[in-house]
Amino acid sequence: MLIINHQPTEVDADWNETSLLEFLRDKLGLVGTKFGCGIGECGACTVHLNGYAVRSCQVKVSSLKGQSITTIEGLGSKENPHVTQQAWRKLNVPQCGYCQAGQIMTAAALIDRADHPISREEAKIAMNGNLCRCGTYTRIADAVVDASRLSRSQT
Amino acid sequence: MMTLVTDMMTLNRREFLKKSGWVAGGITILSGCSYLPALPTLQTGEKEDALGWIQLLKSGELLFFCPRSEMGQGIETGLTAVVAEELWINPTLINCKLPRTNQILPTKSTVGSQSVQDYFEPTALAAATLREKLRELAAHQLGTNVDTLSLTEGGFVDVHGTRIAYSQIVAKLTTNLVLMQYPDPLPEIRSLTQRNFVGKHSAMGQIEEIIHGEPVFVRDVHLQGMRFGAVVKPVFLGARLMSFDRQAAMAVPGVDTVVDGPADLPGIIARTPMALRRALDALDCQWNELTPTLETTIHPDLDIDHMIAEDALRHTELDLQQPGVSGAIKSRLNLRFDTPMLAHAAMEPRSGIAWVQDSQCDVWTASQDPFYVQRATAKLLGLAEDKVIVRNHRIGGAFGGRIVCQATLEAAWLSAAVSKPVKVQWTREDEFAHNYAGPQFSHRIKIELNQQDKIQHWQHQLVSSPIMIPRSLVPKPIHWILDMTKDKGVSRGSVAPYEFQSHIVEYNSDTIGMPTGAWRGLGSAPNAFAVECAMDEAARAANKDPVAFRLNHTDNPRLRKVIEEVRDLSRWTDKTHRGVAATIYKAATYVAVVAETSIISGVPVVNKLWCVQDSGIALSPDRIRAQIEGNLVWAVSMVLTEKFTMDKGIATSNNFDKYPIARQQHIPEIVIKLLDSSEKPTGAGEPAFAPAVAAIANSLTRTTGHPVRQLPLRDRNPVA
Repeated sequence: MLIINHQPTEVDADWNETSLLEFLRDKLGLVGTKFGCGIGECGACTVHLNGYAVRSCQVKVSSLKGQSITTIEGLGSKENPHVTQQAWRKLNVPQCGYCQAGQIMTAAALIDRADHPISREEAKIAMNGNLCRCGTYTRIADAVVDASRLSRSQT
Repeated sequence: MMTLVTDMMTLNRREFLKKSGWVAGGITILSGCSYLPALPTLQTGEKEDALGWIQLLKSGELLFFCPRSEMGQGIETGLTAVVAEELWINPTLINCKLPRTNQILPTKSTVGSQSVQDYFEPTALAAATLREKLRELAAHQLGTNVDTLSLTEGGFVDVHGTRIAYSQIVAKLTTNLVLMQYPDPLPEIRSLTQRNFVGKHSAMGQIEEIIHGEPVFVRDVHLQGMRFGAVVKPVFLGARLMSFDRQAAMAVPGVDTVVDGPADLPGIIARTPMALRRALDALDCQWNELTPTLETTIHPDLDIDHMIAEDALRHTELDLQQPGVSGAIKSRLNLRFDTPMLAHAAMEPRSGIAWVQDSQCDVWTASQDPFYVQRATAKLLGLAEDKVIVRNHRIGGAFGGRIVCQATLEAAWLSAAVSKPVKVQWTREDEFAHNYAGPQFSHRIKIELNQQDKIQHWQHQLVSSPIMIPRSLVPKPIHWILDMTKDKGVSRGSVAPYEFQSHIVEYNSDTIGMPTGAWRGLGSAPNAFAVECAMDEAARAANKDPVAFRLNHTDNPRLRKVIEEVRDLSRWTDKTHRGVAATIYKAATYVAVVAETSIISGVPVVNKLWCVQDSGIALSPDRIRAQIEGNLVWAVSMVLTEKFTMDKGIATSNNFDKYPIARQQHIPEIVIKLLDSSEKPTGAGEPAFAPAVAAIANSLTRTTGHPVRQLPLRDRNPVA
């Protein structure tokens, strides 16, 4: 059993040997998490595992018994978006949009765990593992700083 | 004038060919031949077609069928601003949708930064015509004359100040409002002068869906009873399948069937992706022995010095001899530049879904040319074109690489075998290996500089391979036609944007052993790299400031303006190691870029980029800025890291670890200035890329003292 977006979720034995990414997309229909490279190079499939950003294409379902997964669908709702999603919307970050769920999940894990305001330099280092072919990098770095500021003003 | 449109008219084949633009190209007869594949759509959206893009439903919904594909360039945002401006309604009230192929008439492929330039006016006129029709209905409702009504936000107001809102007019509609003809004279285009939404609107389409992870892309679509399919792909270019184990694949649990695919390679249809993978393994395909079909080194046909020695350059792009007195020559330069093959490396590996049932086919794709996908699918399945309905989705990148949607055609073939919806999802390795690459380029530039420090003679010779028509679309026996045809994609940007007394540009585009095709900006970046780096070499030879040297070679006011503006914006001084470059993109968009670079621990670093662009009226400045940001990032990526490699017909660049693209750590500080302009709007999707490549290269040449003549730089240490 797994906890996915706060819901206990049973895993059919059939799906044990697949990646978490495939289980999310093709079994559960949580298609917000994207397939990018399959080798952990691009970060498009980033989800949270117990609050840490991981590459779901590199995690086998069978290795996850009882653990807690959050996907982009569970990060925040349209009514109550996560600060990262708010900043992304404010700065109009996406272009094609394909990599953005992974970018947002990496950024959200960073922001939720940070004990200090994230600087632009820290943001750039933390986001280096997520590729964006459209080149939205400048806005991504700006949005992480903005979301961090927003997060601290709300707590 | 008012007509209820329940269904779009069906076009016969002759009209269809006309609509798709190939009649004008003289291709009609060829298109009748069964061996010729479907061709991309060349037709530009005609004014008459545009009326159907904007429909006011009696429910009050204002539908705008965006006539262009959306791949993040923000065309939905830009054209929605135009519709909003013409009707003076808030853009949030407009439901902008990507149409199915049976909802609008064919429009041209979304390529070449042409969307705003070609579609601004038809969109504006269609929206303005709806506005005038509403004014007529309002006048009728109020029992007054149309001339007494002036436009106000969301409706009209009469001379007494009485307001009639659009909603009041819509409430009286008994049918949907879809107009069939324009008034004479044509209505006024407000977007040229008004700035309520044009120049302000920024909300990008589908942003909520994207940031909340809702289904957006083809891969995200799930249909009831959908199967997962794959067609086996050759393991190397030209590989022949010798044998495979059909029974073993059929025996894998969850496999529906194994069929013979479109190119005599087997295809598998399975219930889950897992079963599909196991069945592909079980097929145990055996191929003919690997023959070295491709060299790893430069192909001789793509070596400019070899081609010059053979006197083999066929095409003349420009042969300009201006009258004037020739002065004594102060120095002669003879420079060579090379750029490698480049992969699209889109974040979304292509995917397609098809559902063939009852002699018709529904298709879900993400294409720059959904009408091409319609024709190609119809041809593949032997169906009439109107029996294929294509739903086009947002495209996850690959600018230039998403005309041919092989995954969609594979899905159609497989679905026809089982009459169930089939989804085909390419792997990352498929995406690199089985798509065409941007071709490599090789250039020679010969310059004669006179005593007055003017370039008196400029000769640019280059070779590359075909871009405009991907080789995969043309049968092998007629590949020579590609070689004999002037390929305007290869020559794009090959003519320097400066004035020389003698200016010659010659080139070849020769078919080589592997497919090449459109990649962002086509030839513009390789050509600007050669042209603008050569300009810097000439400035050095003249001992002139590169900015002043360029200004001394052009009288074009718009080009001068962007160069002067970027000089001022960056506080240019010749003392620093900055680089500059400029371009006139497709005679429409003017851009100049300044770059500042350094070498840190032996590694080239781009520190800062300044860019000034004049692309006419900015429909959505935020989306134009986003496009420029993306172009500058592509430039950093191309200069520093990108190179697509093949070895003996096998793509060795088959994932992001072997085809690195720019990451967050590579991104410089970016300063952008859009020039305020009242000129008609032009494209922004590609123009800034080419001059940025050259500006970075020029800066690195000045930083290191070693001329950058070959990209990318990761292959060599420029200070070694």
